[in-house]
Amino acid sequence: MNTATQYPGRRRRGVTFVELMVYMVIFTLVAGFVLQLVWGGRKADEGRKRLGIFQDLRISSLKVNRSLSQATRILFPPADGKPYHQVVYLSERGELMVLFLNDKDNLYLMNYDAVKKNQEQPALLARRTMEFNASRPPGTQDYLQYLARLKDERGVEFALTDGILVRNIMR
Amino acid sequence: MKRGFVLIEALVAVLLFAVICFPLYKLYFQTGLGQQRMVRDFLAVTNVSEKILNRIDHQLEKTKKALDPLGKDVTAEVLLGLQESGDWSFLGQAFADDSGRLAIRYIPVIKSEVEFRGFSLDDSAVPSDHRTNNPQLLKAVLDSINKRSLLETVDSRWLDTEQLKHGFKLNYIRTLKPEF
Repeated sequence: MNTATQYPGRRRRGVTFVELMVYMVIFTLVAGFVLQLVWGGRKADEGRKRLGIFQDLRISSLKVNRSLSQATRILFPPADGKPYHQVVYLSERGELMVLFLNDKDNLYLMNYDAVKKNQEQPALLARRTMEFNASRPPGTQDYLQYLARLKDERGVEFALTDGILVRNIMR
Repeated sequence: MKRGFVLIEALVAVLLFAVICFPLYKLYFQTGLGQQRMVRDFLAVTNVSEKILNRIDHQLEKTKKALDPLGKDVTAEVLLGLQESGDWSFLGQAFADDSGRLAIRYIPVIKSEVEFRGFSLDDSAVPSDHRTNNPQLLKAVLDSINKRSLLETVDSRWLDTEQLKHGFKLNYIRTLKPEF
């Protein structure tokens, strides 16, 4: 027994093929848009985070440049053109400064005298640093260049390089 | 009478939704991503330009004379560490560790040029209340700077991944001859 005979006077109607197609197209359009929105939002957020890391690195690089350009002596690396992973220098106040990468891939600038006197913590310059190379061209006393390579949370790599002219070298 | 949507109404609703939301989507995501890309590239190019400038400055500190030729396209030196013979050979050494290519790896097309040229400072470079103190001394100082110095420019231009053009110029006044 069908519905029409069960409930006389009530007309039963489904959807036509064309209506179904139209609903599907509309649904696809809206779903596509929402997906794009979510995907775009996530991408923008990742980009913002990555840019934040890069911006921090740039600020750290400015700090290092300012400190190193006033140094009175570069103790390490030697001026042989080879890359090394640490920089040791004397600041304009005669403090021993060390720029180094620790075993957790964090790049630090340490004021050794302040650590010894006041247990001051080294300043964190960058996280997730894959590589830090510093070198001085052969025979130069007053120039140092470096390259820092970093990865963000998703493994996207970026690098920052700079050269510093050290102006207060005591000869 | 109970009545649903007709096809035209539904399509108009979808069209309106798209017309309203597409510019919002573009504003928040595409434009935002473009700006992020620009800031990222700008940071990278700033540092590379600084490195070029500081390395040249260091060289001039040693040689005390302008480089020959006075203008040069240094893109190959920066990207490949190319070491040509002559006055500019030092610059390729500064990027021989692949640092230039790594730093600007997300920029598909870039061109960097360095140029030295003369320039002229006049008394407008000095605050107005200092100009009248000793005009003769001021003139002598400005003449001395103009004679002894050159303006060094690092001009970098690049195309980002969306083929948009960007540019960045770093100017630096460099004294080549000592005053006395």
